[in-house]
Amino acid sequence: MKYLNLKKFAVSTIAASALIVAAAPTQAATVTSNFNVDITLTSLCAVSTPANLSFAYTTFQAAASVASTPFSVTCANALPYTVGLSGANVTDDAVGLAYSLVVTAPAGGGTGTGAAQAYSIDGTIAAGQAGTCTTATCTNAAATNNVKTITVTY
Amino acid sequence: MVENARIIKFASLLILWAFPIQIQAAQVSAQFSVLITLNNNAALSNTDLCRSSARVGVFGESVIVVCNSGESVAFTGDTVGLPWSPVHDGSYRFITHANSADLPLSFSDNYAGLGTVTSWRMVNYSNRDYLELMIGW
Repeated sequence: MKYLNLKKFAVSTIAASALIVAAAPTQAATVTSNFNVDITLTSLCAVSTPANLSFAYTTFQAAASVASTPFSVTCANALPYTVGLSGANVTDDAVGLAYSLVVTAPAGGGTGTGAAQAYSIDGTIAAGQAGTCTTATCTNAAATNNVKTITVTY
Repeated sequence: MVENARIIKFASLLILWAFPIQIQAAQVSAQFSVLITLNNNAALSNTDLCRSSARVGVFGESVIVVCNSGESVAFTGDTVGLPWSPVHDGSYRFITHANSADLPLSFSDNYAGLGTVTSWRMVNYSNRDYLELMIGW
């Protein structure tokens, strides 16, 4: 009799345990909250300072004198920009030689890529000019219009 | 609801019209100099055609032009002897007697040379008339 009761108790206990195990919640409850990452990008461009543009010219020389100096523009990706140059067509007020300068743009120039884009300034002094010089050789060191400015607008 | 949206839209446009957004373009710049060294050609000789305007038109004047090659070219006017002596380009002035009022023509220049008469004129010099021929090669 006592053995029977113990057996019942054991069976009941096992059954109850099985029920408890089966009824245990295996799915965790979740709650969520969203937020945004806000970024304000101030896009910029930078321009390098080119070396001076140097010409050597002989009075009445038969061929044009040309010179070139490189510079670079670096802008944020996809940022449109323009490159301007001051005093592109002038007559030097020291040696009296007229010259012209042009900005040569690379492929894709005008839109930033995030990397430096190589530009150049190409200058030409046309042939056959007399110039102004009281000695055998003159320089335009005293010129007041020989400083040029590259401006990148974006 | 639709009416409210229209009112908001109209108000937005009105605000934009009254207070336009000023977008200032940013700029960045760099400077450089143009340096020119001019060699004065006056100290050099012309390597092509030798030309000189010095003393042109002066009767009997002798002009000597030294070219870059070192060749001397003389432009002589009232020379005696060989007025057709070779010259290097340019023109040559040859004068012969056209009339001698008091003196008979003592001789006639018979020198001949290549060239084209480009102009002529009568010149009175020392009370004598001369025919001046400007000949170019």
